[in-house]
Amino acid sequence: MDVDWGELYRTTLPDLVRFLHRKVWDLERARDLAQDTFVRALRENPANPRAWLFTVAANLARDEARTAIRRKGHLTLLKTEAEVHAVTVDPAAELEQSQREAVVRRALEALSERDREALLLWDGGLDYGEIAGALEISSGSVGTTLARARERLVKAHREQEQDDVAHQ
Amino acid sequence: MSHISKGDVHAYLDGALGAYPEEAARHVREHLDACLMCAQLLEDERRLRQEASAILAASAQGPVEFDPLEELLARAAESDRQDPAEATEGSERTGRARPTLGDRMYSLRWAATIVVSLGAGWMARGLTGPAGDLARGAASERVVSEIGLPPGVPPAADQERSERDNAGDLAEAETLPQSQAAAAGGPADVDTPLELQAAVATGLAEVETSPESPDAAAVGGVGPGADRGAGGFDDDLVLDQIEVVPARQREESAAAEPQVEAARLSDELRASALSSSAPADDRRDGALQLSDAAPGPFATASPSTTPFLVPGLPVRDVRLAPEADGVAGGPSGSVLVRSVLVRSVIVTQELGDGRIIELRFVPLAGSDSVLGGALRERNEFLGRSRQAGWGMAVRDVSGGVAILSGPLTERELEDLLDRALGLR
Repeated sequence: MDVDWGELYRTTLPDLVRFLHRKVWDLERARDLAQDTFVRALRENPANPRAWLFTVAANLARDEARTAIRRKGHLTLLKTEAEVHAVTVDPAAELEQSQREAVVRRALEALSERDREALLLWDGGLDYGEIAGALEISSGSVGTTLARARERLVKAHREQEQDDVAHQ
Repeated sequence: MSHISKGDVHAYLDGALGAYPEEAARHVREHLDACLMCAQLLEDERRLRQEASAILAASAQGPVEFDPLEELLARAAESDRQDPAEATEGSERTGRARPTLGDRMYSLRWAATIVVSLGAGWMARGLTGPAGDLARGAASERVVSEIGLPPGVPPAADQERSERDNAGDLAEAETLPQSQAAAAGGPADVDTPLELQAAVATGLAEVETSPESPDAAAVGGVGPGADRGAGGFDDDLVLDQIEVVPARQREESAAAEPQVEAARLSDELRASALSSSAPADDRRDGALQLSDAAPGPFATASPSTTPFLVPGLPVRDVRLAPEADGVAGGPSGSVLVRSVLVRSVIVTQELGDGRIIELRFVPLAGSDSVLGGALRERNEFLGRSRQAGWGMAVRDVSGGVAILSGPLTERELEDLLDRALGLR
């Protein structure tokens, strides 16, 4: 099957970065992983590239999470060095975004892995069939999984916000 | 008319009904049009879906710069040259090989082996004891001390338990005839209360009542057909039907009707006692006076004749920790044990105000599994007890650990424990 890689790259990469960002919570790392995933896809030339990209990206993010702990000390050192040279555009906006992101992150962590994965894959643009394939579940249960995931996300997010208010 | 599920509603909202069979998709659409209840559900779920999307959008970052596709193509070509094998053998799980069905089955086989082994170990934990132990179950068998209970009048709880026994829920305790006990090592030669307690717990001791001792008691097996008043033993002794009768009271009973007081604490009574025995707020550390505790007509135990027992307090219950074998128990200065396995001995005594304390000797000579069982049971008990404000005092003693728990301060419990161990 001929794939328009240029079009796929243009349309899919932002979704892939967003998907990965909600897994590694580091935008630069998400961008690198997304591009690495694309490089792999270019080598593999899979039949269903979009679903393939998200599946491989999810696995890379999982591996990333495992190695992150080992790298943590080193990364902390590098980050500190980088921050010295970083140019902060708007500290207040950055802080606000960071706080917002932290609340979402904690809310997502309240979901089961399968529910979270289904929600992020849907948000990444995969259809029910592709989500079912990635999660190895039946297509008929994707709707139920998403319904549960959304409900739990909203509930957990409300609780997180209430906690934050209580601590302020 | 069957309503549609939330999953169907979300599939409808996500425009995913195309993945449904045509008939099913039509049913969802038509039902949503016709059913007010499901139409309401649709609106609720629509709002939920929007809120979830908004939450996810809140974490979205701004635009990100990407390398041009040409650069990625160059990197792909470069990596192909460096590692051609990976390019041909790669899978979707690049970086982590996708497990094949065989791999998964292999993992499952290992998991199944572990599960079966654990299950077999659990089921067979009683096989080391005499035959029939398997049926004993996890329930903690009690060696009930029915102090002064008239012969032949089992309490209602006994009858209930007896019914369970008939149903096979509770196996009879296997007791060794004297000759066999002797062959197995015979009664342990113990002198001190602690040694005796250790021997009791480890099943090495077979100690009979000393009739000469005014504090001694007769321990009678009251299995089916047994003579409860004779003080003898029935080889078919039922664990729950051991009774302990203080010798002094037994003598008095010949002349007068003995005072009757059932010492058995059923689970319900125990729970009730726990819930009502929280320490008083105004109780000062060390304020407990043993003289407060009315000993009652049958409480004549002393450390010199009784292993691990707070002197001056009536005994309410003696039992063995679960997952062990045999028969044990002897408040008031007499113990008979025909046990071949190690287990904890638990004695419940009553304070003067009706609250109870629990003394436990955990033999460390036991196997890990037995010790683990005793500690598990203890922990479960403590978990229930803590809500009632129970504390705990622990002393390392010869052959094991002595534990006293009750609705007292730690200092009071330590004081009582030291008294029980003869350290004060």
